[in-house]
Amino acid sequence: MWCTFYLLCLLLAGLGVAAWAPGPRNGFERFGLAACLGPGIVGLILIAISMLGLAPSRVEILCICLVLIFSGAARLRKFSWRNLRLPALRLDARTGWTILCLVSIVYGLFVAVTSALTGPTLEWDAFAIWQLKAKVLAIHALVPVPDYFRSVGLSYSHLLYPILAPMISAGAHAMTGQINGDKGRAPYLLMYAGMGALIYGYVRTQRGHIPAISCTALLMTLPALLQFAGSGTAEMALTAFFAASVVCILRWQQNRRLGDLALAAFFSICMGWTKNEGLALGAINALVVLLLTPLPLVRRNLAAAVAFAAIFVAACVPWLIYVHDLPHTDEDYIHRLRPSQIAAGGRYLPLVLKSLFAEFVNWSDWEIFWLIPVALAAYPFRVRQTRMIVTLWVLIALQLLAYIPPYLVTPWDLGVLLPMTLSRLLLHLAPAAALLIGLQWPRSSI
Amino acid sequence: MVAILRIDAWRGGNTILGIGRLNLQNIFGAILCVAAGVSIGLSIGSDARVRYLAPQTQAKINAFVRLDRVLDIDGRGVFLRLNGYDAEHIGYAARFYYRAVYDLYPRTVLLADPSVVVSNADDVRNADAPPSPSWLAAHGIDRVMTVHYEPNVFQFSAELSKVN
Repeated sequence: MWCTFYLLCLLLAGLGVAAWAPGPRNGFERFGLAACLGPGIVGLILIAISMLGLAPSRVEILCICLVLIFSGAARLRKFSWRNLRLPALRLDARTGWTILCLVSIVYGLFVAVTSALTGPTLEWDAFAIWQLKAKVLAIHALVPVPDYFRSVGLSYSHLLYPILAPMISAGAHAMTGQINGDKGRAPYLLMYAGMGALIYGYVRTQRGHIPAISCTALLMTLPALLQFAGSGTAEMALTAFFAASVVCILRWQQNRRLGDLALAAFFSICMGWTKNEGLALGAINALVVLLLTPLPLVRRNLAAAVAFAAIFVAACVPWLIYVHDLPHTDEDYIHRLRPSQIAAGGRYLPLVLKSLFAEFVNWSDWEIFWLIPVALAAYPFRVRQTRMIVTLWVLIALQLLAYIPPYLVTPWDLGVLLPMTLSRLLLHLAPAAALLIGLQWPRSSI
Repeated sequence: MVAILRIDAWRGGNTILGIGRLNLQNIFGAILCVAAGVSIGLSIGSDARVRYLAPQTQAKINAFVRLDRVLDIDGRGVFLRLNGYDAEHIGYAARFYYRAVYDLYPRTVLLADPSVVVSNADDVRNADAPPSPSWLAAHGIDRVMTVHYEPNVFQFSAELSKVN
């Protein structure tokens, strides 16, 4: 029961903050935004408090959530559940297609619920890394530095990895009062549902119901996503934060409202605190905002883009300072990524590129998901929302480029590492591909 | 899929699969819908096959339940001794160690001296060194669990002894 209450608190806290997001947004988009905002902001506040010497507790979480809910209470009155309605359905092909997609999405939700809430934690890096860290953070405050972060015998758990996802899980442990339970996986269920609602809501606003439900169903039934949705790793959190940041960047490009840019910056910060890859994804978001903002040389736009980058860097620095003096015994990619080492690893480039290409067409992980945006790019009648489409392709391309150097300097055997990690890296980009599919979906399809 | 699209054809006529007039744009739209439907169907089929139909999945869950039961032990801390794991199977031993640390946290689980770096399965293999009772006591260990390699029984059997 406490676990359900925790999820409700995260959602309501997210709704409280999302109430400040600039409109107009439909109910689905606002719900999705809230489901990603809530865990992110509560997790970051818990980290800040933990750095002041207080481990998470039920009272602390309730107080944080109450403050966040009341912060947007006055504006929440504008939120109406009626906004969450699907369009009226009639007996036609649109209805049939909608039902097909809805059934698929319900299957995805069922899988996420069962894997997040039942049974033991099965994914090996969930229990070896993320959920172990969640237990550490639930028991100890970050100051004084817990013994865990200096235990080189636990280096396999990547001692220096960012801690937002484990802190969100630690909140579930603190709320339920059961450190040894498996409820730490539950919050990712909220993020899975939120990401779907966000993609649907945004694409529906831009292109209508059919493109929206189609790309949402394609995304939410991906085997790679279903594998991680309730597994307890940080993949779901990073993917959801990335989806939310991209939607906010696209909204900024359309309307140039600072609120959207602030949200995009917030989600980029969350990415940086979730995984090391998130630091790269956040930096790329900043670069894209800088380069692809409409009228980039207008003083206000330029200042906003520079502020985005500065806030992102400033907000990620505390963790880098925190881990600076701790033992660097694991992969430590940040210190390995030197030009000389990257050049030395150049001989692995063909293998990395070949494996990356093979993963795009790996049916067991993706079916034909990645082929659809490519086919749509070649579609001669596509919609001319050029800036948004270009932005999404640039994001995907830059992120793929950013993932290559770590493979060239990795201490691990690439033959083992590539098959283990490529599906996760592409999973982080999947929301951008889903948005590409939705935004380019032809009006004449059904 | 085709049946659903036919409904529209029945209602409207002069359409291709109920999608619209016969032109390149509509044909592309129809192909896209079919491709998306096939992708969604295959995704669900692929996931359901692995998740609910593959015997390995239930075996994996049972193995973890059994592992957690083995690790449901009292005491302040545990030293793991890994017995009989060769290079090919050391991954199973490593996972036993990772699971033990996760299940028993905040209690101590050691494979070797705490100053030995354990980053991967090879480190787990190299770390297995038998300690003395005084060393165990000094590191807060009051149980020793010996894990034996055993093929086909989730690759282990375990016995627990109390340190006097």
